[in-house]
Amino acid sequence: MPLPEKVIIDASALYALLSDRHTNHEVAVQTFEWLIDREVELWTTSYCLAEVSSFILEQAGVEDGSIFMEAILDAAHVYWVSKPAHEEAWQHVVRMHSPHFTLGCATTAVAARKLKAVVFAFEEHFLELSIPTLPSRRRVQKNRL
Amino acid sequence: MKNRRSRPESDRETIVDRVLTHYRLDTESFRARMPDVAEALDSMFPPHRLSRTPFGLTENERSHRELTLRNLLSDLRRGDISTGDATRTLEQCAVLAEDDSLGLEVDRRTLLQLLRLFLGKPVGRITTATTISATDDTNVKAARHISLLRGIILDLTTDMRLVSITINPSRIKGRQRIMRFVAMLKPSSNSSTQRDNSDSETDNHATS
Repeated sequence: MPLPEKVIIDASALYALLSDRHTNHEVAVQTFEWLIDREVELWTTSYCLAEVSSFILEQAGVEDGSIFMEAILDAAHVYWVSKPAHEEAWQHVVRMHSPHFTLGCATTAVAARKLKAVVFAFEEHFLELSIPTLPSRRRVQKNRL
Repeated sequence: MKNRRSRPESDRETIVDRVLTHYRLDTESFRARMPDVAEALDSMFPPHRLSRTPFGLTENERSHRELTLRNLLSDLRRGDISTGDATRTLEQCAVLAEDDSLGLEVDRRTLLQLLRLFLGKPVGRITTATTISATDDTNVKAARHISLLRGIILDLTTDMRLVSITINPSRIKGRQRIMRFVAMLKPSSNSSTQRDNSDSETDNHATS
């Protein structure tokens, strides 16, 4: 995949980055480093921030929550979810009918369409919505040199 | 003749790179000037092997650049690399990075090592935003700007020759701030019950 102009980071990618015991942690870190080193314009949604920061507060406390929030706000722009975007996202959630496709993920899908961005995620439902995602299969498998 | 024989391998590869670039960018005028060379290249790069990568490299060009880079990196690991070679290695990295073909072995540490050779000092010693020239020719103009690492931009000509490197120390430090949350959730920081919940919940959320 050519270098995308805009990438929106989904909650599923943030979870993978947070814990080195996560199945996709290594690939997530490689992809994230690639994106920030190539200075790709990064985005996330206010709902993903709310979802993931709540998880960190519960698991690790307010200090780690603050580090996370500062880091993400440094790295990415925030797509603030409006009422129409919320309603559109909720329709996706109802249609998908999957516990893995959260409202946070659905707002990522809505924002990706609005911003014409590629989604950085480990959630296959984005493909069902015909939204391009990272990391690509080619990048994950590539290790040629 | 003696000089030609003693020309380093990396110089020869650079000349091949230049010939290939001109052949690819303007095949027809290349053919008009050097029909015999164009014919030889046609046979080396038949149409079915001319499929373009995202950046526009052919499979053969990409393979050639990867091979060149591999040789230069071997020299780097042996400590047998000049400033000129480091410059050429950074050029190859920039082309392959733009093509999304840069192997994962060329990690941040390797790139910083190359930059150290180019600069003559570690990148961390540079405290103010600066542009460092890679050529004495003041007529050469940069046409492409490729970010190799956050805060480090390679300025290159249209045929991907390095003109200068622009370094922004505040963006380099910003990278460290951003990476602080990565692998933040350590199992040892919680009770065993919380750990188990954390792991299973993280995987449930994020694994496809």
